[in-house]
Amino acid sequence: MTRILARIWNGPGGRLGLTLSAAVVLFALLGPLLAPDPDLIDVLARLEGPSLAHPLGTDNIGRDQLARLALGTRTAFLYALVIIAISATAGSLFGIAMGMAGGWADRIGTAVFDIASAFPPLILAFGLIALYGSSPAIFIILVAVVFTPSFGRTARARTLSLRHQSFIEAEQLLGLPPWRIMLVHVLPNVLPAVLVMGSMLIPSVITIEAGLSFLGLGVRPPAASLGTIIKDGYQFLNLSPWIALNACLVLAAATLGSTLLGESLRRILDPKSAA
Amino acid sequence: MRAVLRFSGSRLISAAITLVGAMVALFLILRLVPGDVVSVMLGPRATPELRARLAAEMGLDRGTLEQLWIFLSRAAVGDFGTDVISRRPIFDIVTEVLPHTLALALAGMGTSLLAGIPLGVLAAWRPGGLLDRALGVLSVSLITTPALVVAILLLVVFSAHLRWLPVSGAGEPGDLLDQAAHLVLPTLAIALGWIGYIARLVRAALLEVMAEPHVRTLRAYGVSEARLVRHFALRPALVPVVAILGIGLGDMIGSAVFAELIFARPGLGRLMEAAIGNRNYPVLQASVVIVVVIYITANLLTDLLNAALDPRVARSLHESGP
Repeated sequence: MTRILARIWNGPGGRLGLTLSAAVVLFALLGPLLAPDPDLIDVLARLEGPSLAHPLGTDNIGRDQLARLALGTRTAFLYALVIIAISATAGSLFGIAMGMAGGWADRIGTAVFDIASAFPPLILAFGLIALYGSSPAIFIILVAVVFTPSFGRTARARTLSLRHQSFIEAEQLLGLPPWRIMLVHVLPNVLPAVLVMGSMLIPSVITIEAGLSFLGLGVRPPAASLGTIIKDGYQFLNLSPWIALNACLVLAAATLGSTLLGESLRRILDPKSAA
Repeated sequence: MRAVLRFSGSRLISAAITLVGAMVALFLILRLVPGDVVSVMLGPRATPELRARLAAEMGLDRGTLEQLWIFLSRAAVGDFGTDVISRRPIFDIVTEVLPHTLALALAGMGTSLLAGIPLGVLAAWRPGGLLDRALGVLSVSLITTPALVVAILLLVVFSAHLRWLPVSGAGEPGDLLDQAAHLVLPTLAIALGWIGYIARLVRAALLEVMAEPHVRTLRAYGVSEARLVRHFALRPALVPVVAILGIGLGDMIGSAVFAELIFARPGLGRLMEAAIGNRNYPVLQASVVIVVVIYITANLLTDLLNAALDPRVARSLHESGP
């Protein structure tokens, strides 16, 4: 772990990515300590600029922006990590099972992945959540469904390249149960590729969560998300552009940081695929 | 050549299967939505006769399999039924707004190619040099900045400070110049990320081609670098760009739907949002089917074009294929 961190730190992109991500995560964790309650409404101080009491000003109903921004950042990372964890787990299990089983199971699974990929991802997420996404848990599961095929394909491709290697064939001849071969011997070899994929997809998930919340489909008010803050700011763009701009800045920093981090992780764990 | 033909055939069949599968999936997704569509559309005070009439009109009184068959067989000839709210054919409603979305998506794709390819060539000119590193940072920043953020920044700049460009609507029908002006900001919002992506792709592919033996030989013969790039290296370096055009168009249509909502443009995004709000599922269903048809066709054409440009693609897929 420390060795990987040190190698990330040694590349210029990795260093910037690590710094940015750490800064955004720290802001999400420590921000609420510096500011008043994010749901506290101060009617007399609406749409105010930065002041000592409200370092980043207030929104249209007088809520402290620093506190809400920190909370929204926390939402963004929390959702992204949970969504990636679910889709990576589901995708790897399906992908490994398909790759090992081969035959019809593999063909049907591949066809399902192809069908899911026939919808542009943003449209699929938009439609599914508009129709079913009534609670945060359902929102998380639906976005995870949209991202599962990417992981499934990666895991399947890795499994296919492992399947006919002699150590797997030897284990099959020895009569090890299939689940044991998959979990103990195939999974560890598939994991680096899945991890890399997961880290590369974090910015996409952050963006989708913010976009859907912006449309009023993801995180619902009064809960804060970068998307809902941008939406609040969007309505008062001419009066007080800072609300939307600050949230945009944090969103851009979060996606840039996690992209750079993901890329340098890929360079280290999966040097062959790094372009 | 035979490999290319066989590849095209199998690719065509799999595209058709995927399309039918996607339509069945869409049908099931809409079928499983909780709540009774008829009561939602008519409200709680509708009489049973009225409810029965609407249900019959939407075909909801038949069995699920029969409904699925009716949906598939009619959609095959472009018949998506009549909208129960406006009494117009749904196909007309969708195709009326589709050009706005397609124009935006194609403008986005065109802009990213026109800007991304030259930037990629520039970056590959002196790999590791100052320009290359600056463009590298620029590309990553462009790729990672969400379209939503770009859209908000453009809105702030153009609605509050500069007023050169219109920030909402699609422009006067018939006035091409006005429509083009309305297209500029949404196009920038969806294209900036892809400019960076394509620049990186072109740079990597060009560097790879420039290191190949045939290019080295030409260089040894004294062919100038500019001539090498223009006549020998750029074309093979564009193959990976062609390979992502299909996915790119799908991504552009997805982002266009969002951009339409932010910039208050008519198009599929507004239509789908309204259809979801009214629970007008037949219109939503038809819009998504059309997007899926465009997306699958674009991916199919991309694959065929790619196989025509680089026959190795077709051959390798057939040898190692599933």
